[in-house]
Amino acid sequence: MISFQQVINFREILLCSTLSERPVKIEFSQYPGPHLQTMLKLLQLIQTGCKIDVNTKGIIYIPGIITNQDGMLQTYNCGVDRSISYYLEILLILSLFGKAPLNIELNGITNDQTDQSVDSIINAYIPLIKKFAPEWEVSLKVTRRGFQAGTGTVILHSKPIRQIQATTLIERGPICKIRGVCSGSKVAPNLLNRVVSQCRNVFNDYIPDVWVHTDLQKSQKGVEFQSGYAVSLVGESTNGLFISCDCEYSNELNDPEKVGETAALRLLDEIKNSGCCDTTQQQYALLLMAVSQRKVSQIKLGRISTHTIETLRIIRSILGVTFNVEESVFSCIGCGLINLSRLTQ
Amino acid sequence: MSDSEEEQVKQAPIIKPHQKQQKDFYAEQLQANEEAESQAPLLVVVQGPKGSGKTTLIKSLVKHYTGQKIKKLVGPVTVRSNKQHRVTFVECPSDINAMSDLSKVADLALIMIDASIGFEMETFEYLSLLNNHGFPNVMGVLTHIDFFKDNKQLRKTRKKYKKRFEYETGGNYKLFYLQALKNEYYLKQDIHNLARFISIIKIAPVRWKTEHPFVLADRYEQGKDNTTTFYGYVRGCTYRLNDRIHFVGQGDYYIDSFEEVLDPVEIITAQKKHRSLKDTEKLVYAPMSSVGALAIDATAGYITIPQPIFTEKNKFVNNEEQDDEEMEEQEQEQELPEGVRMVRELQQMTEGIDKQLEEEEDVQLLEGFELEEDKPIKKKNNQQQIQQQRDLVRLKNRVNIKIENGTVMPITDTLLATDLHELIYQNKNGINEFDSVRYIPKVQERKSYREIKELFVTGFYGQTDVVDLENLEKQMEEEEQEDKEQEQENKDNNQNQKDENQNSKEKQQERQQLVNQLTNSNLGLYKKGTYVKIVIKDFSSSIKDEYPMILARSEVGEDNLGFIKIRIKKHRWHSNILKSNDPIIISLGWRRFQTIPIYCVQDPNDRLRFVKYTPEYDYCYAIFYGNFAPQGTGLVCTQSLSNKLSKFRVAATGVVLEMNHQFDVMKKLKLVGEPFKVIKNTAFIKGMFNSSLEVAKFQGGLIKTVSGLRGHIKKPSKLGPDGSFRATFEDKIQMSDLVFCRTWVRMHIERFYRLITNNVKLMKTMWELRQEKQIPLEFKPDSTYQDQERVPVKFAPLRIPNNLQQNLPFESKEKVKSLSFRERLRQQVEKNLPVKSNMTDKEKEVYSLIQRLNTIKNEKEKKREQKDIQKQKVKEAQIKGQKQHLEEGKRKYKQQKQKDKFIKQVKKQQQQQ
Repeated sequence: MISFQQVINFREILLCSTLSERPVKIEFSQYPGPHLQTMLKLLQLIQTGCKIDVNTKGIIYIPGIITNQDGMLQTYNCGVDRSISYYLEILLILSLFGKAPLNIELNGITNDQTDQSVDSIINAYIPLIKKFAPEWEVSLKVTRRGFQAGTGTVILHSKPIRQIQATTLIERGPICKIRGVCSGSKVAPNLLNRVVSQCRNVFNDYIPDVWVHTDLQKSQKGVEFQSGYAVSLVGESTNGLFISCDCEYSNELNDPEKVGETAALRLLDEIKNSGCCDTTQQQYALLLMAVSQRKVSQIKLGRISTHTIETLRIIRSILGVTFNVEESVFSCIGCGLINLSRLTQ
Repeated sequence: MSDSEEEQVKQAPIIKPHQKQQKDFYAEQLQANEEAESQAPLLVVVQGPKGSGKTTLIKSLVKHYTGQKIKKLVGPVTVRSNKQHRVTFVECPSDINAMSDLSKVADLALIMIDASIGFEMETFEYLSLLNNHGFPNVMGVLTHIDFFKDNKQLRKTRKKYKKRFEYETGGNYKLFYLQALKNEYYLKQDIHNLARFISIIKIAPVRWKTEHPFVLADRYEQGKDNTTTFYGYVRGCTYRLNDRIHFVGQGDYYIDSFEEVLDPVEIITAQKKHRSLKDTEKLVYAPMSSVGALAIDATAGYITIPQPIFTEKNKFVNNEEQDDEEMEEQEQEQELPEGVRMVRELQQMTEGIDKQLEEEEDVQLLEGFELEEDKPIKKKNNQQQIQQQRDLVRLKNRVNIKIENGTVMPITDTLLATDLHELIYQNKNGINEFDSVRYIPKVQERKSYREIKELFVTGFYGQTDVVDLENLEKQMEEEEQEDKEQEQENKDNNQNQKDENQNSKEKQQERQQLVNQLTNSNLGLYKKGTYVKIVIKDFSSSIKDEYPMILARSEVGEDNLGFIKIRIKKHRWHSNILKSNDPIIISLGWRRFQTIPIYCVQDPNDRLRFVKYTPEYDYCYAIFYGNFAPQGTGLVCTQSLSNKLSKFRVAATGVVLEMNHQFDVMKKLKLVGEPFKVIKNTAFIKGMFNSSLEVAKFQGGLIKTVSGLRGHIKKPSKLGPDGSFRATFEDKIQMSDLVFCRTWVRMHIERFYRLITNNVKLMKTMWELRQEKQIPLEFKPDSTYQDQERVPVKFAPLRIPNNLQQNLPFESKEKVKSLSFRERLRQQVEKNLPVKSNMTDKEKEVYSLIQRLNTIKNEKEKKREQKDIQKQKVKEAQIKGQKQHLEEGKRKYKQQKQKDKFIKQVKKQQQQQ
């Protein structure tokens, strides 16, 4: 059993462990929070034969087989500790290696200050995974928005695949489109338009093809929405690569013009400093490369976040894949993971 | 999907190049075989029954390739067949374990058939093993042909065998004929032909092997504390270093070290004029068997020298000339092959090696090989080289790394600092101290982003005007030039094609370089074809030399245990069907293990229903506890490991369908109860359950009587014994009816798994236990069939009490029937007719008179009936006759008409003439 000590970054460990079906032991210096429990319960929901032993010092996790409850529609409450996308990032990769299609309804926060928004997942994260799994069929829809109070709902349908393809992502190409979603609930509709117009104001110096949708949550009976608004921007390059960023209303950014401008500038910063995928999602791109077929995969990255470094270490200790780094080009030969649980006729 | 992919893989070599899609796939295949230049030696497995000439064939082939003679053949033999090509020969023992292991690794199987005997059981067993472990290339070799003296008979049998071999292998495979032996070797010409076919063969890709690297060990050394070292080539695909290894037929072990060492049969890469091999380049590497005069034992090596043919030169040389001679000698010695040099050195020795060893510690037998540590020097060099290369690469790529705001930024322009690779993998400090959150970039002022305009599509339009115009003009000119060039290019298409070919080649080379770079950069990757040394500590099990030693990498997820569902079919030549819950030996993936399967079939509603035995000629499913393997992997079942050939040993074959940690296999269970009280449609039933708690679990369940009345279980009742309940039916049931409740019980699947090793104790089947302990079959009197005696039920006549009858409505009342006069009379007569025995004489007379009168009357009626029949017959005959007459008339009329027509035609013709 592979053991990790004083690691708070447990999510990637659990993901790698489930994919490779190797049991792991994680010791914590402090309890990470209720989202650990939510994560473990979610993992248990989609698997059979999974055993989890939790105590005060840490957890012992023995993965099972991802059956996705034979494709039955599940409902799961993600709570208000972390947003839905925190779980979606893991769930989307796991659903590639399931026995049956994953049909799940997740309830919780859709836009949040700590994690990327669900819109960024739809517009940037899923296209990134599709680069590695072209035949993947997936649909992710936001049926309700939720800020802080966790009233949001997201429905995910995802079909499993056999193997992840080795992919080379070296040239991003120039940015040709900018798209985005500005969402809000319990705010004046005018507010969102102000955010959008400010975004456009910044981008006018760079590119004319800017299209930011507004999505205002309508009031529903029996649901108490909390007021808030956020904007998620995605830049698409000519080579079909996406770079995303998020910005939300907070105490510091309490002005719609401020929110719009910060979001646009953040995207510009990402475009300037990142390679073929944005800084938040780069660790998952590397993980997908590590589990791809036994061929050479390459990716060019810009700045590397500390999470990514931690993830690279986890990948090496669980999957045994070491990356070769040369001038921010990461290359490796994948470990050739095959979806063992997928049904064949 | 996976099936179709597999098919595609098989189809790859016969793809027509003009079809674009398939071309793409072919290109992909090429990419998959990126390491084409470093191929592992072709693995040729020589299989055949005892006495069919396996050893002789290998010896002859080795003699053909190298001119060396092998005295005693043990283990794999690697020879260099040409500069780029090496071949490994392995002899397959007739043990079922070795056969199944070697069928998994073989690139080419030579199947020996003794012509004097014909096809034997082993051949068919091996063919079915090959079939289920991915069919590699197969060649048949027919030996002992000199058994047939008669030429005609020989031709006939050859034809017969060829036909049968093609049928068994599915055609397209060659069958060779080896004539008589000559000096214990086969004839030169025959072997030459066979060797030619071996060297030009194209290896069919077997999916299992392209995804699972392994090492077939040539040689092993056992040191102290069970530390065992294995040497062999990496085969299958690129080996990614892992801490564990699966020794096929022995179990899983942790690797102590895994290193690349000097290749004994290297590929000759330097291009020279001569295509054929020099005599010195013809190599044979058979460390476990004795080649030529060299014999290696477990403890020592022996060199047999039959006659001292040469003498030492030094003794006859004058002192003056010695210096020059020595120089020449040294030069010559350097040119001499290693073996000759070694022998000469040994001859000059005055003391034995063991004595020398006592004196000195560092005796070198061969250059580069230290006797004590047994570590080739090349390895050290190799590591040093790798280190140097890495340093060089680093010097080039040293980048300044800026750690700021939770990220690391490599900046290439500035001064040297730390290495990113080192930072990630060598620096062990945890950098991250918070759970992964999204990265929020620190935003600078709006103006500072002006410079990144060029990262947008529209970027270059925003630059200043003057430069732009110049640029545009230049661009226009360039475009024009390009157009002209293109026209020129179009004229000579041939060149274009060449360029394309070159491009594809270059691309391939680039890819190859990438792979090489990755494998050389010390990331724990070993290309196939590299010769490696694997050290395992605490290798406790014993090794048999004649068994193949396959060290397979234990893959991610495949060393896990769980339930596997397979599609299985009993082999048509296996004598008995297989029983559920009887232990069986399964060879799946790299592993062979004993497990307890249960067999089942799938109902139309996807329920897996338990069956006690496998069907005789059909597929069914089996579920067992074992190692995971990818779907579509073939497997072979055997019932025992004994080498008795009384039965066909392959019991069943199958393919993996699904893996899970639980399977619901159901068995039908009918619960029987009987009513003890029936009130209209309600009945109280006892005997089906034991307690009211059980009843509560089945509330609302469907029940049925023998006669087919359906009903529901309602509630446990207080009447009757414990476990009785109230039920309602669609109609009133009889007290004599039995009531059934149809249920399904989940079958328990045993979690039994035992890896087959050399000295494994197998679980016995029930039958074996019975045989051993002389226990007769259990006899249950209930289970035997008996003749059923059915007594017809006599129902009492329906009696309606008078009281009830009076109260009935008129409709249902019994009515009094009014009789006619005659009927009344007859009733009276019948009433008054005397009983025969009590009749007086007068009464008798009356009775006989009545009887006679009756007979007369009956007779008259009979006659009348006969007359009527006759009359009818006459009438029918008349009608028939009339019909016939009519038809005859019609026929005659037609004939007459035809005649008239004919005459008319004839007359017309005459008139025309």
